Amino acid sequence: MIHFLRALTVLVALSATTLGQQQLKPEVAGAVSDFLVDVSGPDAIPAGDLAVFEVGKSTATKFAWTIIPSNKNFRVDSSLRLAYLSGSAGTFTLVLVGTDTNGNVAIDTQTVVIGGKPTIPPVVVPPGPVGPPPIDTPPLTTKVTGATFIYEKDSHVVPKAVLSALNKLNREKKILATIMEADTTDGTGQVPEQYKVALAAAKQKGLPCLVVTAGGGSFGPGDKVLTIVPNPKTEADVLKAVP
Amino acid sequence: MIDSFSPTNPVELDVPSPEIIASPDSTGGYPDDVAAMDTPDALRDCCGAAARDFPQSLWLEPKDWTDAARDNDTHHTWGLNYVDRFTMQNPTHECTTHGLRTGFEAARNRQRGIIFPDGPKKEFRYPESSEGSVWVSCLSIYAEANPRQKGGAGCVQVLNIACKRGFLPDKTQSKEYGFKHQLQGTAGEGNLNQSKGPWVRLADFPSGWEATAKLFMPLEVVVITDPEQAVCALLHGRVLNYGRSGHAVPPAFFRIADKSVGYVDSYNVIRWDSWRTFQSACRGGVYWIESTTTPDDWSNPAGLQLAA
Repeated sequence: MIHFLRALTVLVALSATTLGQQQLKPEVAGAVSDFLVDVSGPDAIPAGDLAVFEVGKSTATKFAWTIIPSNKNFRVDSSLRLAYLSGSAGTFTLVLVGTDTNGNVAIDTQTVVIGGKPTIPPVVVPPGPVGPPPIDTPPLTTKVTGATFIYEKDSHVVPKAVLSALNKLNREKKILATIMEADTTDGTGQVPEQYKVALAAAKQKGLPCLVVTAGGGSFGPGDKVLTIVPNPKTEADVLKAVP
Repeated sequence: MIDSFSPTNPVELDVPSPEIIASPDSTGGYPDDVAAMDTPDALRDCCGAAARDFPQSLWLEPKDWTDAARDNDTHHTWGLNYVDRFTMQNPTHECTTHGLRTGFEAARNRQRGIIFPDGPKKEFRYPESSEGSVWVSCLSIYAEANPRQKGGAGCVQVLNIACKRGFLPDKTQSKEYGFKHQLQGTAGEGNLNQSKGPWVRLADFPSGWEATAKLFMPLEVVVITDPEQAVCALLHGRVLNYGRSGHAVPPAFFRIADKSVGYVDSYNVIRWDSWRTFQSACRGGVYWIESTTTPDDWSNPAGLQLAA
């Protein structure tokens, strides 16, 4: 039963971003319509304060709590009807699973923000792609405008053959082909505007990599990621990624 | 043609520029009293948050140096291949700032990704420079480093200024970028790709100049004293900076044949340090600029809000 509840909790967590604070009532054999699980507590507290949550109007008889992301300052009372949360600033999602002797199961969630106003619940990676815009592969007809080799100086060396290939793209294909160390900033200390999309895509894929983009021009490589080549080492690795 | 497998003509090793020999004080701007302040610790400290240790990812065993040099010859990826112009300081004492600008521009051009296979050429302008290469003013640093104009400045002084507030662009550029603030490149002779002009005090820089200068700053500077680490840096296409014998220079090329080191001298020419001179200079402290600020738009490096 505990394993089932934990599995159900994980399922709720995966859906937390889209379901927000809605009450969830999964269909379970023998369920009654007035079975209720309800978390009651604040949605925001100052950092350093203590938030107290209770089962509220729940009709369930047994409860299990969890918090996402994990927080060492989260405690559940021995009665399982109360939970406590404190600590430093952040956004957390409480998940309360309740059941009764009839096999009814329901879940409720509560987002609580420590140190600020309620915001969108923290993103827990759901199934499916997240992050940068979808990548079209293969880039059959889209005109490539940028090729950016992104790396971390302390871990990676930019292969000389890659540098040579980028030079060819610049000179022969008039594609904005550059290298970017992951911590590079502009004169204001920010990630250069022209590289924000490519950098995000690269970090998701893993560094070092070559991010091929469209939608740009002389002003920048473009915001449409066409393809990402992980760890290119040769001229061919670079050139074949740019039709 | 850059060929690291041919030795340097011995008569060209450790030869000072004729301009320095002919000058009354026989220095390009790095006299002994200034050089004495350039300790390795002082070099590291002067960079502030930009200071970095040698990245282990750049280490190459000496047995691998030959292959690395061959790769650079093949792909034109020496530091020299990211330098698209000479500068001419004569008869000033601006040498440390000319070396500094070489290292800065090379690091920035390397990020831009355009290679100049033959390196800098006297009185020649590459068309490709207009695709994002920005030439910075040596005087914009030197004027603050030495308000007395004569006597030179240390590597520590000029590097500190660059890391703190950046360079102003030279008045001469390969393309009209629309900079709101620029400064003559040198109070010396200059050349096709470096503007010249009268001495200017820091207080007389164009009003609001700081806003432009901060766009052209080193972000990371590596300081070392190990000659073998310095060779690794050269083999990875970095442009170094050190001072010796009254002159500060930016080594940008390594000849595997005799371990001589080519530097972009601030007298419109490439000159050569012997392996012995190179080792000695490195042990006194050598730095290179690993990365620089990068624009939001390579074709508009100072941003639309600063366009004239």
